[in-house]
Amino acid sequence: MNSGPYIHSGSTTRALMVQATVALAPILAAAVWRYGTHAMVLIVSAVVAACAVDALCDRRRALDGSALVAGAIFACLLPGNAPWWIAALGGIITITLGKHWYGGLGQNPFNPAALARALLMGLLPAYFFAPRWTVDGVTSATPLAKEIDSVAPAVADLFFGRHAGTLGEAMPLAILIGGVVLLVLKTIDWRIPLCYLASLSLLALLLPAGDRMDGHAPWLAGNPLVHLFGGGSLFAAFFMLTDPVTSPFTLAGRVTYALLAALYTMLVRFYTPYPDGVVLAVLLANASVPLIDRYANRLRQNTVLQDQRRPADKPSGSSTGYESQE
Amino acid sequence: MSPYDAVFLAVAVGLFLTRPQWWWLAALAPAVALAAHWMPLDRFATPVAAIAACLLVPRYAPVALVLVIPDYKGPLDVFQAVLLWLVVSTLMEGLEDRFEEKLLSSWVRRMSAQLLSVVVLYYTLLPVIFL
Repeated sequence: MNSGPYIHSGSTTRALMVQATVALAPILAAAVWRYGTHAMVLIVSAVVAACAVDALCDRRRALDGSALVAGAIFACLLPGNAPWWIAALGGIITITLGKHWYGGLGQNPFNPAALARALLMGLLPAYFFAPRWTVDGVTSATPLAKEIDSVAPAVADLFFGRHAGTLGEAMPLAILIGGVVLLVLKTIDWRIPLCYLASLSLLALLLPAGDRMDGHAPWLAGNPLVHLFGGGSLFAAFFMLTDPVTSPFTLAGRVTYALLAALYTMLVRFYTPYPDGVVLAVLLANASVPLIDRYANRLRQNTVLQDQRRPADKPSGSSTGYESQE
Repeated sequence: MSPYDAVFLAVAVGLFLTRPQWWWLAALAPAVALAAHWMPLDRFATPVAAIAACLLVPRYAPVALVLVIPDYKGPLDVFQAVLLWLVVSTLMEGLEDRFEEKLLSSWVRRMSAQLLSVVVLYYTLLPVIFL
């Protein structure tokens, strides 16, 4: 963390959570439109369970809205046909293990919803890797898990949600609307989604389709739009990687963090049997944040020291920015 | 036990120990195990490997011992296990900064938070075994 003094930005936890809820609204609406009332059941189960457990764990902060947002984000990571109790269990894990186990709001090293999803995916894989359904009766896990002899999905179909996936992947258009809301309100740093999505696209073009891609559809390689609009990339870029608690403080750190997440996402998508590695990439990037911050801070301190050793290079003749402000 | 499981068990065991200066020498334990099984030691291969691994860094012997247990198929297996153990250990070292004493006051709470992090990393890095 940067050394003090600090200036309060004026925003409160509740205000941030209201902004996040507003941004999530179009995604949740798209999920209900796409998957019907069962999506509503999943969202309500996850949110109610998360809020109830949060109120039990910490009554003072129960109304700050963080449990509501965490529960809704967890619901967005669920397949459309998951049973309601998985959603409720996930909501409970999100708050108990993801948040309060680490000391409460602002102390969690991992995104709580991603942590809950990873644990449940490991413990109850049948509910996450089994074929899924959509209202059109299309059966598949995600567009990224198409059979080897399948044809590439049309980008328009992906963009307008005519494919299977989790609730959060129901319609990329809705995610973009939510993302724009967060960017306009300055709730998130634009550099993280930009770096993540740009490097994801670049890697989709550059990564070779080798023997390790056996069992994968060949069109997965060299097709960046499929990787942007299929799977959870967009949702993670705007709603998970940008969590201020679990992302780095420095600019260089944020770029490295986004690059690492993109690289792991693509390695999992290309070279492992997992259909999508976005949630795992978010967790790996979260785990790397303390190290990234440490080295980014060291780099910045070295740069400042080098600047101080070269006073002649400074046009004003001052050695630091602080002196020139005085 | 698979090399992947052993790596995470070793990281979890390492949480309970004070990390010595040459802790990373325990990364040689998988290579020692493989070498011992290649030598004509017959049924003494495992005990010899265990003793040799413990001697690498005596204060980190439990970690080295866990890393010796799996049946490594070849140098690639050893390389993957060593790399994974070093990466996960480094990540956990970084995460220790997040477990502050003022928030997680008791040792049990701090340790449980660290163990949960190991479990999360176990599931997070699981696809690595396919790479």
